[in-house]
Amino acid sequence: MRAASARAAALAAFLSVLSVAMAVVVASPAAALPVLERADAEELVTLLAEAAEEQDVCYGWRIEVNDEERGLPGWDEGSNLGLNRGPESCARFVQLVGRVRFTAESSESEDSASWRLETNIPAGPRTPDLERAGYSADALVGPRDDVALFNATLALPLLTAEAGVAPAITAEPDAQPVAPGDMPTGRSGSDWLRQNGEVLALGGFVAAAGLCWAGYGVVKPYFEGQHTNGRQDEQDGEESTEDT
Amino acid sequence: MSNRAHIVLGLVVAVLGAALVLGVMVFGRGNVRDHVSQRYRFVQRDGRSAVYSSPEAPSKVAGDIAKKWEPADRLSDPSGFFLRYRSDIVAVTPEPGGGSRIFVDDEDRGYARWYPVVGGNWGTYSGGGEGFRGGGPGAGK
Repeated sequence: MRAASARAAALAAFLSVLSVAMAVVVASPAAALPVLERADAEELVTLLAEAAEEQDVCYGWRIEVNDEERGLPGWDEGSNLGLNRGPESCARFVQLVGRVRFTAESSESEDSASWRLETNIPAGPRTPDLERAGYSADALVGPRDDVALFNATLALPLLTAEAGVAPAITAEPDAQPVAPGDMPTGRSGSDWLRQNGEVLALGGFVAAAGLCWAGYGVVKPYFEGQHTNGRQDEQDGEESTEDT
Repeated sequence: MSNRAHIVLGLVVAVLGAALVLGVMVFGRGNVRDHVSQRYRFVQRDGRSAVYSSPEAPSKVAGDIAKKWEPADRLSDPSGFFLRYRSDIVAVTPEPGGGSRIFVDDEDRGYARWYPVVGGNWGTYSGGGEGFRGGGPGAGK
């Protein structure tokens, strides 16, 4: 009887430690927002709120992230109504809904991602509109997954305007003067190489492979000749031994 | 396969590869600025800055430009799509009456023109202001 109660106490202690650990994991910002940094998510909420106010449409994102290494699924969710809040309560909403799956290193299958647009506006934007703008869910498994999610979500107001169900938000060029010394940074590499690099590398590889192949045809007879001469020398040696 | 066949086939493959490289160098020339000027209707020019228009939606125009000339970076904003190249910034915004307006600027002018949007993402943003888009995604990683 005492042994049973001791086992029960140990089990209760283990469960309480486990629940505390789970609470810490779930409550941490990284677990709550597996794609966006919290500051970025809050900024996204602010920008969506400005757009929602002008267009009278709510916008949001909800991405489920399944990481086979970690085990627990995570949710990255927010809208113009706030973090971890969806826009479904609004009379009109558009939401980016996606799923990301990171496979275990031991798994043979690739990481994968998909997304779609959900809306209750009959003629609202559709998923192909997002792809037409050049955004692909595949970027959610890339190194800049946060940038991809941020940009795709922030494209929703403009896509909604393009669908003709909300007014377009007018850009204001030169709206704010640039402070002296303020300048663009992180200049990128050659546009031409970025555009043509893959084909250029393929052509170079094919040309080099062709030259190697032709070179093989040139040197092959010399190796064959050496080999034949060597065998001939061996045969000559054997014959002379037999003669003696 | 004879030695001569190895040599001939190898040279044929090498010539094909060289032709591919040459073709890219001849037909792949140009830049995003040339592409936009040839593809869209010219509206106005001011030095190295030019404005074009298109009856197509901004998402279609931005997607087409990015497909033809892949940008080094890109930003979305409720007011437009922004593409960054080595020396140019291309912005595609909605026209009030429908269609798109395409702004092509050199890097410094584009940075200044679209400062509230691109400032914190593509430069040393040092000012503040209402509606400013802050550090941008990934800035904290």
